[in-house]
Amino acid sequence: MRRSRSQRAQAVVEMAIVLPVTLYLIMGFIGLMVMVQTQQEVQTALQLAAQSSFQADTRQYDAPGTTCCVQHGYGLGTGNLLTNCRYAAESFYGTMSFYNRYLTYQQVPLCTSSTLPGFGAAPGVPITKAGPPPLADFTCDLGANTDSVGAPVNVCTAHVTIHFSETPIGFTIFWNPTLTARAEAIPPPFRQAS
Amino acid sequence: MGVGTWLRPARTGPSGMGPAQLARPRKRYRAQTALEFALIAPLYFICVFTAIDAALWSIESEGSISLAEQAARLAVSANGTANSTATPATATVLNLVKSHVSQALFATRIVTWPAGLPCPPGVAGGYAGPSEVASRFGPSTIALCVTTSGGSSPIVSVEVVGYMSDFVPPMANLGWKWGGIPLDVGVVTHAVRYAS
Repeated sequence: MRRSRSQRAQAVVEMAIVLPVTLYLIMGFIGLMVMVQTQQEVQTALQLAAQSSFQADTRQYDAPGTTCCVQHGYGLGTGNLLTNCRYAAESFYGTMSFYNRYLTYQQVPLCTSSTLPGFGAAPGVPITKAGPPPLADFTCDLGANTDSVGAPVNVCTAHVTIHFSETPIGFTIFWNPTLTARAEAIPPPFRQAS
Repeated sequence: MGVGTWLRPARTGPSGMGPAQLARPRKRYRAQTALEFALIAPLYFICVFTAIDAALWSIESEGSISLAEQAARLAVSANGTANSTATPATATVLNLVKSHVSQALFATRIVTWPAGLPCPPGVAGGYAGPSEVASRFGPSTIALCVTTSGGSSPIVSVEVVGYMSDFVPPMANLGWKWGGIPLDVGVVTHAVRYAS
């Protein structure tokens, strides 16, 4: 039996339809994995940042000219800023080491305190001694709210865009998703009483 | 003529061939089918295996990040004192991370990165990461390295680097230098202090 020309043409057309769809599905699956992985890594980095932000001595400021995170490829000036903020940055940038060339972050003030007057980490205590906090890839709101026993809750947030167009699977994924991660932490138990 | 023959008359193909011809297609047709299969099957299996490996990579690397984080936090918490600026012993952190991360890695050997070598692996001579681990310990091996710095800003840094086992043999050693799924994650945290 010999296939007619029309049958062969039909096979080619079927293949031309099915192959891109299959490829698209597979690449989409891999892209989804990358998104989940990125979300997990940002979430972990923020969690560590929020927890580390409690580990500095209270009301301690970085000396003028202090630079953070150079060993991780960032030069973030934290001079005159609450040391808690630098601790958070060290944890975040130290943990976020993967995929960085495919990610861009929304630039936000490194440290804020939304509930307290005067941009302060505690009543009357400013985040910086002078000037606004530097812009960074994430923000930590020190004392954003309080938990049930009155302990301050630090909340860190980041918005990150994945540039699939710059990855090997970019030819099938035509959009750049933006992920949001948020982590909260309360101080260690003995600090809650102080 | 039997009843069965009357109910189910012999089928014929489009060109009027009888059942015998249908059962044994021409050699050319069979060759074409074999050729099509030979073209499509590898593509199909590569797609399937890629998807399976991607899922494995996602699950194992996610697990590794979470568990390394938990282990690092446990280690620094256990060591914390009221105004401590000390960091936990490297061996303590390594043991905790190893016991945690091993839960996420299937059929993968976990070793300790030798003290004295750059951590994360390969930093001194530029980024090498998983390849550096594989060249030293072989494939399907993950190396753990921990660095601590004391002083007024005590930091614990944990790196989990190497190649995880993949369970899809055809993907192994096909373009992947060491046959396996690369993993390179790290967590950094500060030692816990309970008062100030």
